[in-house]
Amino acid sequence: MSGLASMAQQFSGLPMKSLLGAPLKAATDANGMMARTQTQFMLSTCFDRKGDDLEPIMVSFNITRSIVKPDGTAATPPTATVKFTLPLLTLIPLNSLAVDDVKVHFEMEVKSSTSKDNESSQEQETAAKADITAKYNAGLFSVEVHGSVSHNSKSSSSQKEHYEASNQAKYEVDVHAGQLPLPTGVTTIINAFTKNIDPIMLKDEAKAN
Amino acid sequence: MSVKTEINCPDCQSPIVIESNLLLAGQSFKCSNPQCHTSISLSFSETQKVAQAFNKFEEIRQDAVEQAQHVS
Repeated sequence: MSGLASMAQQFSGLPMKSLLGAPLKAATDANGMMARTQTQFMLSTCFDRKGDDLEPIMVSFNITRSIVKPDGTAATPPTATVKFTLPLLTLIPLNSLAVDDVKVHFEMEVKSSTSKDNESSQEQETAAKADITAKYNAGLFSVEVHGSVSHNSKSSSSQKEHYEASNQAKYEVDVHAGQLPLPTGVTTIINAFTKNIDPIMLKDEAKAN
Repeated sequence: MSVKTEINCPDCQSPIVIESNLLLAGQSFKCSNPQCHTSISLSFSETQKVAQAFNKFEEIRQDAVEQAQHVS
């Protein structure tokens, strides 16, 4: 249990706030900087300053349309080309650059292992041997005793200790800059300018009267 | 690098996909509506003006990529 507690302590000591917060803050700062740059670009490149007003810079396009007779066949000439103007602003995918994805991968491995091998090895060998011979003469009888005693002992012991500990930490931050949808305000401005290319339809005065 | 953008067809309001490099090369772009045979192209006299705008946009796009790399 003490091993687990010390492992938890290793995790609790991590500066998670800065590990996770720093890349996110950097991404936010980068986005703010990009937005400012793009706004400056939009104002300086896509608009002409006329006193206090900004006028959109218009770009001329040629539009080619087919001319079709009432019976569905191609007229002569088959196409008509006219000019129309479009704000330069509508051609540039503005304000769509930003950091759109931040991934913080954090892996930490605290590996701690202890192994204690107790192998007692003590070698001791003793040997003893004795031969006994005894003879007893009592008149006609004679007794002879032969004996042998031996002793053999062997014991061994050895001690081995092994400790292993490893710490591994991996910290990865992936940042991707991509395109974001335009803010509603910019979309509204672009739509308003885009409508400039539609012709203004005048009312039929005869019918109006 | 080429920039892709979309504008609405002046005739039928369907999207017309425009690619900056081809636009500046003088290519015309057809309306995505198969019933509408409208096509648009940039006037030759406007090429330089539009090219400058796209080049500046490419510069700030590069800056954005560098910013993103700096974050990581």
